[in-house]
Amino acid sequence: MPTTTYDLIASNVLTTNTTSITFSSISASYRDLVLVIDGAGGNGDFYPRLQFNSDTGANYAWLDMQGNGSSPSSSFGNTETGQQIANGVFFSISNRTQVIANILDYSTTNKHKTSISKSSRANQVTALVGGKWANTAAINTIRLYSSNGNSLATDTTIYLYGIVS
Amino acid sequence: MPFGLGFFATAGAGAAAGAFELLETTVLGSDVASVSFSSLGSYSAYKHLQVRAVLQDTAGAQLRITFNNTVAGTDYAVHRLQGDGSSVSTQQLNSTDNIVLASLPSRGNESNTFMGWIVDFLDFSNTNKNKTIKAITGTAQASYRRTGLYTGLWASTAAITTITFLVSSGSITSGSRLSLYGMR
Repeated sequence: MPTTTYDLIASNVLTTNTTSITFSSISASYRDLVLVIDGAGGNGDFYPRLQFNSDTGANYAWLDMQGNGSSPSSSFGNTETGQQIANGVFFSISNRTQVIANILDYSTTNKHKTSISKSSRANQVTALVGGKWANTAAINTIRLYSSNGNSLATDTTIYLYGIVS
Repeated sequence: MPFGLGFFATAGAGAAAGAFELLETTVLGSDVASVSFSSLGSYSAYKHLQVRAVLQDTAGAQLRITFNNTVAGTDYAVHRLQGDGSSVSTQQLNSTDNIVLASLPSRGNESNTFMGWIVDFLDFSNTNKNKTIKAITGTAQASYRRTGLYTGLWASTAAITTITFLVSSGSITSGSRLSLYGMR
């Protein structure tokens, strides 16, 4: 019997400029998580990062591939304090940005946590980012914030989905 | 077709059919040369299939896909757009005997790091069209970095009844996981 699979775990529609959003007590009953963000920068450019389980250590790695309509590029970071999900595709005040971050096998306890994130800022840049959190713990908390401390704007939407497996 | 988003399914939808449904999951308990999803004709009520996976190889070999156990020299093609942390490259491979994707991370480098994959098989049971797939991937091992966007072709109008994931050498490692979903 097929299993209805794609569940909305939590939703946020910002009613004020917000510097961070935290999803906590995430159930381990899913296989993958999908974080969907649509919005703009609040008080300036918002460079999205994720931290898992309150880990602020240099335990995150990433690489990206992006295109800006002129030339493609690829870069990486190896020992960072937050998970990059949209390198070069920050949320600006004047242009809407979308990020879909897939976090695979988030609740397993024998793997580093792998993410694949797709992002785009309207009319400017698009990117694909692969990520790794070098920790085998099940993810039960996700914090979304900006690396420069800026905020997301009012009306930005942040949805967290769980995919059963 | 949105990347990895599918259709919304509200928790507790009960007996109503969802638009994005789990069909099968395989978590490898040992190293294997390939993983197949078979008898896919039983899923013809779905329009598209999606495989979500975390994979690793014993030797860092290439991941490949075949359909209906067809391994013939001219039936497959792929276009690849990949980044390795330094540069972006693109390749076109025509008339191959499988859809060639990317190399998997090697267990010998970082045993706990796997490569994420989301692969869409569009109109998989339609008998009027050649078959198209779309895939995204990413891994950030210190010694092997790769993110990529792929589109593949199987030049056959046959309905897909078997999907096989295989590697060019070595084995897909224990702990790798592949989940098959149907989309209405």
